[in-house]
Amino acid sequence: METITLNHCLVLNGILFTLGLLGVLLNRRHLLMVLIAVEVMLLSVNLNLVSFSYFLKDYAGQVFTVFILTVAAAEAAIGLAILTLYYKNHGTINVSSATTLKG
Amino acid sequence: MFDLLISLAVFLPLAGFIVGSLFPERYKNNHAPLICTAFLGVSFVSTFLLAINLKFGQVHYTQLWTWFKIKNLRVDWGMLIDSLSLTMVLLITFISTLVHIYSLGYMHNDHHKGKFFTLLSLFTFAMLLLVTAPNLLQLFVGWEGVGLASYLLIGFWYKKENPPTAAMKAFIVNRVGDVGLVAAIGFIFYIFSTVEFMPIFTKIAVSSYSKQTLHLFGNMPAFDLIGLCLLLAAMGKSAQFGLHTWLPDAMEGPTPVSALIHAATMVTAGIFLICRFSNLFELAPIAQIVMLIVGSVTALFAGYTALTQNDIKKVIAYSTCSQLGYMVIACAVSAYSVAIFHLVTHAFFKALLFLGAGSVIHAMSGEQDIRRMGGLHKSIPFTYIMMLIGSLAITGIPIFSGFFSKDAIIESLYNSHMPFSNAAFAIAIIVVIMTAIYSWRLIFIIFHQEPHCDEQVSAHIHESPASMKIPLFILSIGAIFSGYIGKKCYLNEGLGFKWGNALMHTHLDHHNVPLFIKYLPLLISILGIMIAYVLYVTHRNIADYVMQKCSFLYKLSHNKFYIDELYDLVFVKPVIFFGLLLSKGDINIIDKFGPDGLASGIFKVSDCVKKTATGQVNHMILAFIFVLFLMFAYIQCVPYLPIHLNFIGG
Repeated sequence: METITLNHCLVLNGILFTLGLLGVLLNRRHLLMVLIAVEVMLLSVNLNLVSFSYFLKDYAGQVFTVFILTVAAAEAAIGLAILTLYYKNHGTINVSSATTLKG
Repeated sequence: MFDLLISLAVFLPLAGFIVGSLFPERYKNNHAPLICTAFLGVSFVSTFLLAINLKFGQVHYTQLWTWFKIKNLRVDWGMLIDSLSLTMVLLITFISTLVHIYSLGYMHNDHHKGKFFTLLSLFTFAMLLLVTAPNLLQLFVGWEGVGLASYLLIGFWYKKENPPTAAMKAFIVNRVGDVGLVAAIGFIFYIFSTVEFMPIFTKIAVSSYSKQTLHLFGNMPAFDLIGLCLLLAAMGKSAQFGLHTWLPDAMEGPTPVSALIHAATMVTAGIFLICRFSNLFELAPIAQIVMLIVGSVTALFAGYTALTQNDIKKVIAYSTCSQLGYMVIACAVSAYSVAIFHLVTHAFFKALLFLGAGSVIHAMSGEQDIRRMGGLHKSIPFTYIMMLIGSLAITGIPIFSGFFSKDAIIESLYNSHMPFSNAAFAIAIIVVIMTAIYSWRLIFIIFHQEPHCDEQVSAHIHESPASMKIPLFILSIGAIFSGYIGKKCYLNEGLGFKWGNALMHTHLDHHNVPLFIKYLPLLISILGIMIAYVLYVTHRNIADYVMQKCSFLYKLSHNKFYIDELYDLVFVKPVIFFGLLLSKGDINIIDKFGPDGLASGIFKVSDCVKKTATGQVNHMILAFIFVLFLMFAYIQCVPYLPIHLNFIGG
């Protein structure tokens, strides 16, 4: 029976992070999906912190994670608020239609 | 005390200029004229006090401060007062004060009269700086200063078509003369290794200096070369033949400007310069001969041209040119004191004539063409009398000032033993009759012929206000008495006046002159007046007949010998053509590949860059991640790189 090592955790986190990134990059429809994908990326990073903290026996990492989760919740709230306002102003939350910054 | 007085005299006009200019635009017209006039009045009073208290014949040098110092060349600002410069300062402040007062009336309705007065004061300051200069460089500053003020004042009515062009012409033609002055300063510094007047004048007498030669166009005696350069400068400023074309055009400026700058003071700066260097010219025979020729040609040419001009101010302008020719002739035959004497009397009667002409123009609602005047002696009797006095003075009728000074010039010409002096004497006599004819032609046509103006103008004819009459009256007194007093002072060194070392003064030898020669100018003047009377009052068809018979001579005179057209063809057109050619090259080559090319290139590049900014969030994030990746890659590669770029933490 093989035990779970740090490497396993890192690979899992890497896969999660890449999935979130691809979700941000490839998703062309809903802004909500982008928000969720970003959240996935953030969680994968948190998981990374927790893994290191566990294997290196340094619990500061886990404390960090708790704080980050708190802040992330606030951040997500702001993100959703922006989303709602955007929908009110533009009548859509389609990602490809948000091209105000076009040169 | 002398230092204070002369400083006041020179710097009060500058103060007037500065204070007047500092007024905001809407108060300027109300306050600047009076302030400038008052400052100038005080300036004249202090000059007058100086003249009373100073012993003539002595030199008084006021040093103010050092301008610059390069090795052993030290140039100071200062004021050198001797008989010559004191005469000039008195004359300038006096005439300038009168012209200021006159302008109070003449420019009454002008929208920029504040600016006009400040410029007049600026001119006066520059002119005073010029005549009191103790060294050549300060003289040059004044020389350019009067040129600038003249430019600004000729172009004062800048919204009209002609004045700006005339101003430009005056400025550019004067530059030609200035080349002469700059060259002269250079040569003088090379020979004497100083630019201060006092050391130069003591060194001139030393033979080791006077025998020097300069290698330019072959070996030339240094003094002759310097003399010729100074003469060129004087020709530009004093409107001598060849460089005279700006003076008649300068009449586009307001009439007080013509009286002050283009008759009484600035145009005499050339004569002043020659007299300043009289000791040098005495040792430069070639320059003297050239001067004699230039003066004679100018006097004759300008007198002949004045005969047929129809603009009242142009006639007087050519007359000024002709009288300046007289002064140059006098300088050429070493009668420098006579030249200054004529300069002074001329300043009085010519300023009188110009201001009188201004009064006539004022009465005629701006009309300057004498063919549209006539019969004015009843409607403006005061101006008529003033013009009459001026004309009597310039014609050389006894007791009037011109009689004394012109006679002195002709007598010294008769006494001279220079080459060509006989021809110059003959020319001077011919110019006397021309002077009489053109001066009295003006008087007869303007005041005695029947009116030629339309009714609108003739209903408006009015005598000028008191502010214009008073200066005219004072000038007329000067035009009458300055001759008699001037003769005692300048020629015979009486009344406490002495030339000292200010210039080469030779006493006129009256015993050498036969009685016939003495009375010849007077007889000829009277003859000229009679001719003018016949031609323009009693038998006017004769004038037309002569005009038709000698149409070539008439056209030559009327068109000013086609010199403007000649210069246009020889200088102006080629320069403009060449300039256009160069501008084409500039636009098609330098601009195309230089600034314009760079600008359009930047636009092209930025258009390309712009396309990458789509505004899509995905693309931005992709770019962000790509750059992040590159940075990580770089950090990983750092140990293997040949060069270490030290910007990410080493």
